[in-house]
Amino acid sequence: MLRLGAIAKHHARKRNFIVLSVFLSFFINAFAWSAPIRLIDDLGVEINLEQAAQRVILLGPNLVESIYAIDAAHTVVAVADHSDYPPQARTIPRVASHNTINYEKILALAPDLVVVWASGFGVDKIQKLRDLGLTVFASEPQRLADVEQLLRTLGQLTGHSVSANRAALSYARRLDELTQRYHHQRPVRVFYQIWHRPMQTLNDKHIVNDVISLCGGVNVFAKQREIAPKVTVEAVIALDPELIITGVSNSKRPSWFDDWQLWPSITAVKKNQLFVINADTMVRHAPRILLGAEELCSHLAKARVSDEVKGE
Amino acid sequence: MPTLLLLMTPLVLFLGLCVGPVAITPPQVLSQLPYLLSSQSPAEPNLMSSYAIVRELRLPRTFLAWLVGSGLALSGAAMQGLFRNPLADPSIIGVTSGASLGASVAVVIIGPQIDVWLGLSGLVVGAFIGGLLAVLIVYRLASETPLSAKTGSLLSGQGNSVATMLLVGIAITALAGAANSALAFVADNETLRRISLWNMGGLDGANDQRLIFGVFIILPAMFIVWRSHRSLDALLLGESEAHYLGVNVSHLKRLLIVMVALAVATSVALAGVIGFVGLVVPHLLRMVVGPSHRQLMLCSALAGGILLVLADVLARSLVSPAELPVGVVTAVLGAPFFIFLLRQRRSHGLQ
Repeated sequence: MLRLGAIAKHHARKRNFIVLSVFLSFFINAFAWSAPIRLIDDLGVEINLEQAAQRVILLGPNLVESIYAIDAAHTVVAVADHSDYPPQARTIPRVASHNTINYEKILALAPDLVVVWASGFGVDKIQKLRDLGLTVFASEPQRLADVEQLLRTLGQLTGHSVSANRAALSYARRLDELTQRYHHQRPVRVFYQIWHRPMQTLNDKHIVNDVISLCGGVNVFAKQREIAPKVTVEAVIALDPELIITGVSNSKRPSWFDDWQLWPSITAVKKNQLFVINADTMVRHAPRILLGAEELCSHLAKARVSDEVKGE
Repeated sequence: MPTLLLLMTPLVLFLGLCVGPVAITPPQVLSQLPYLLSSQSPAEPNLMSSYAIVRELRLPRTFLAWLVGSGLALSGAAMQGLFRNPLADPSIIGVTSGASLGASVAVVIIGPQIDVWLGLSGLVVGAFIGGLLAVLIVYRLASETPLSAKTGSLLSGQGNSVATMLLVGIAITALAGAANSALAFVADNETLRRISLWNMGGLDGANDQRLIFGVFIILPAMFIVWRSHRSLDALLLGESEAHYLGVNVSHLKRLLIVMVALAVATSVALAGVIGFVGLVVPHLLRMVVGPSHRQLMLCSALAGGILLVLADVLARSLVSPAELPVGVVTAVLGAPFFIFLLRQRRSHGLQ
């Protein structure tokens, strides 16, 4: 596996020189393994590495997805729970749950870099890791576009800038394509439901809102103050979404989703525009979010078509 | 006072039917009343959607709020009388924390979305069972203390058993709290958020099944508790005095504990943990109508219902179209009021 990855990387490197001939990648590639690395993390702290990190711990499922996307997974020695994609990531040792960190296990693994999803674990835990003498990069991607930078950063940190830049470019291109294609179409009112009891949704500070607006949709609860506000059936009726989406982690249509059938006055229900989407492809700041975006955009497109058919 | 509260009740319930994110004017709601009473849906299509909102969403929610509020306030009055302690509230015998633990266990183990019984979710059933189990443990431990068995004297034994019950209730509360926190390590982020939101109280899950479940358990329990008003009055004099006045004190205790446990476990299961209604409302009413339990419990029930319906109206409208957990509203209103009450305590109410 490792060897295959290395060969693929080698080929990729060659092609990159020829096709892109970006002098930046040449620079980084030439010095990646020897030169010290100095970066500012997402919370504004300067990170210094004497050389590219060889033993990395990634705390955050999106980081794990991203490291696979840049072909640098062989540098990872441990991850946090819920790092379940790609499937081979499930076998990597775990050193943290969703919100607690096992500091002893981390120290025992002697990593040269720990990358932490900052809002998932909190600044206190990041500080504690630093107090233990570890080099910690706090990652806090927010918007869809930030994933591109995340890929580049992970590449710089692990000395895989070439493959990382390639992944970042392809991500940016794909994002651009989707934006071109969907963003300026007729706006569709969307209700994104994360749970039914209590009924919760997400506001415009969440990346899901980004995905919705990328697809030319309007999140009906975008302006709520809380990031995951509790709302009611009646509020949904009042705002009358044309599309109701629920994100679940196993893609199985939950039985409570059928409760909407009681409310035919909602446009989405009347036109049968209710869809289930894999939440993992919607909420994680990783390249896979574009798969979720594509799926969501196609649902929005269907909602627009159903509109034209009915001639409304 | 009871007449005033009785007059206010339908008005407040009507208000509950009128407020919501969808604009439905009071006259419109009024025109729907005949349909609501006859449970026939109106024929005109433009009336149908607003009728469905009032009938399916606002009606069960408003009445559940009333039921839970009045059940909690009446239970609070009874517990303060039984323990002769002004700090007693319905959660004192461990029901609330037991129910909270039961709900968490159900959410973590079987998942909250599965309807396990009569359209009630695992969370509701778990909370109900958890609450009753907690009281059962408290009650068994308190009534089987070696002290009460040894003394042989009925009265001193019972005196101890009230204190023991309080202490065991506190211990069970602490234990359930610890178990709840321990579960947080098993649960993932999402489950955790659900548990904590539920713990803050919420009536948004109200539907006909829940309302019917509540009506059939809380109302009879309330009635039985209220009927013991005479014995509770006698108990104000002290346990031995009550005994010599012909009150079967141990029977009274058993009855009240079981009925209050039923009412509170049900209300916690249906609406989450709602603080301060059970504690503050009886105090307030005691200042107005005096300590006689007949009036006190009746007024507490009416006022508790009114208060929770109003709190829920606020919870629904303050941040509309989102909503606040109703437990937050009652706590924010209740806590300062309770502090004010404590400052007034010298001149009114219980010492």
